[in-house]
Amino acid sequence: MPPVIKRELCQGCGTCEDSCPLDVIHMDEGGAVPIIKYPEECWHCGSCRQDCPEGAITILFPLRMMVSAGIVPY
Amino acid sequence: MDTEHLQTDILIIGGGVAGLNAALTARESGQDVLIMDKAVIERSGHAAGGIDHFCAYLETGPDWDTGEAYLNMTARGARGATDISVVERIYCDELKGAIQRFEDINCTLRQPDGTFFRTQSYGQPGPFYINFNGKRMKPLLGRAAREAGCRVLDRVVTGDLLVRDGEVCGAAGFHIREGRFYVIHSKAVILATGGTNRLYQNPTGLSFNCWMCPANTGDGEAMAFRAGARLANVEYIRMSVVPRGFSAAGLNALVGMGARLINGREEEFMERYDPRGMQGPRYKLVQGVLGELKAHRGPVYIDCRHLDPEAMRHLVTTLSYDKDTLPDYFEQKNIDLTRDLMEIATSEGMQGGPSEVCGSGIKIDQDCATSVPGLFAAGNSADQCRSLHMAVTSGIHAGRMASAYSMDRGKPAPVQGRQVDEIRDRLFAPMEGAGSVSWREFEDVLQRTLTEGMGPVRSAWGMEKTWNNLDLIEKWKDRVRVDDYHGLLRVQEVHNMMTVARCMIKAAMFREESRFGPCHFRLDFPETDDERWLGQILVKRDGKGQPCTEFLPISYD
Repeated sequence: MPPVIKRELCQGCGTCEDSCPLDVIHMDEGGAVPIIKYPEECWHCGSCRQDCPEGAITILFPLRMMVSAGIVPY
Repeated sequence: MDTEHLQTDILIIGGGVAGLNAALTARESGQDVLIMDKAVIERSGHAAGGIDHFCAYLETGPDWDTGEAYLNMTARGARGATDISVVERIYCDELKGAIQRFEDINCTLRQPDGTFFRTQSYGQPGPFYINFNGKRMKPLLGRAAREAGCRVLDRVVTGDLLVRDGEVCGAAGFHIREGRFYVIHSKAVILATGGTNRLYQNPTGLSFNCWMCPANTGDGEAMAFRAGARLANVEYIRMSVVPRGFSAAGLNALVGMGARLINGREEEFMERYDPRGMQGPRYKLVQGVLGELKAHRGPVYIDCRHLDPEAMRHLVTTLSYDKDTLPDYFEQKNIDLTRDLMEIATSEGMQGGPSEVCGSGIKIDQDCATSVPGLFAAGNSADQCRSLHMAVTSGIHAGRMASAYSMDRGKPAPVQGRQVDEIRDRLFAPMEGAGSVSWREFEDVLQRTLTEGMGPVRSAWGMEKTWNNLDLIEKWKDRVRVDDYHGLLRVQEVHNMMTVARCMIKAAMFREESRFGPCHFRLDFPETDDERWLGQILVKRDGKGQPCTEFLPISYD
């Protein structure tokens, strides 16, 4: 689920947590590692990736957005 | 939990584009400013991740490049929803300052060679859209607001406005991580909370995969309504045309650069729906896509294969300014616009204004003032404002007019303790509830019933059924339980969406005609009736807190 944080690049600065408009990313309890706490509430806006000073974030779209299927209402 | 009291001249609720522009102008007028936002203002609101176009006339000589031509377009495109005297005062009077504001915050609208790159779409008389790189606009605006001395409460969601003797005197809310309760005492309040999204089912099943920002849940509209202000244009449903699977912005860039919509037989079809074809308004494009699918001529695609390499390069770049992750989506879905057709669909519905330049929500006058003294509104939460150009100009104007109001006041009116207690008890109740319903289930049933009865095909009986369903859903309100302050934020959002939905249904039932294609189409009144319905439906609360409607005629000479 988006975003995906590469642990080996992440310095734990917390920038991504502040960049997320949806409160999806939280630093863990020790404040050292960002976790994607509410992945289903991601808007895929890319703010976290743009602001990450280490380039540690990639966006991986979920399966539900990759398959063009389902009833279009109306 | 802790309660903190703060005092300011002007409280701005919502630190998006409109709110931060209001803040900067109010600071320039020497006012003390406090901004509250659910997120952190450098990346909050609809333009958080970037934006690519700003609508402007530049008076370069031709007839189309004038304020008069812009106002004519607005009056023609939003007949019955727009008040030209308000738009002229807000947009035309503040446009030069708005363009300067972009320079001031170091986010120019110009290309590197100093020129404006202008494109045309959605029925404009000429190329009104300035394409620009707005990916860092929000961080730059946020920094400018802090450097100008605005106080900022990040991650504080507003629960309700404080009203004393019919005047707004502040607001109260809570911190979405720590739960601290804030009471702000102010001389004036500017609501700039954006539109209302997450109201309708999302075709992917992901509620937050929506076209506009999913944090914008009608909070300002609902608070204004509860405080006694009038709403307008809320009967309209807005949709867009999006890549199937990803409700991403970017249609203006595609249309502006010459992309075509085609059906499953590879036929262009838009001229069946509008004589302007691909240059018709957005709702006509939506109507065309729905029409082709209904006639079993789908799937429907966007075709860019004919664009020359230069135009294609510009298009791909611009798309990423508007939706940063769209290139990633294309890559992961293996779509190459130079080679492939891209399947598209209509987006989820949302409550929104009927045209690119006309909004919906809190009814404002020429001063961005609402019908409640001390309460102003700007941006997408205001009935006359839509898109970036209106967010910036109405923000500036609201900041200016709220400052003038504030300077005439001695100090904030004293807050009533009882009202503060009521707001706090209501906001925190789901933390203590014994129920078993999650906010997601609450949101899901709301979306299901609105999708069924309040979509682009409406009828009296269908809307009545939806209204009754909302009664039923509301009876379960006390059974919603959350475990943390993040959940408390979400349930608060669903309550506000429910309030906007009620207003939407009442207004749509009252408007016994059809207007703006799928934005308000009634099976039982399929024609547009200018004799009876050329104007706005105003919604306000009655003595029991329920929405009541009245009609405000508007003339267009």
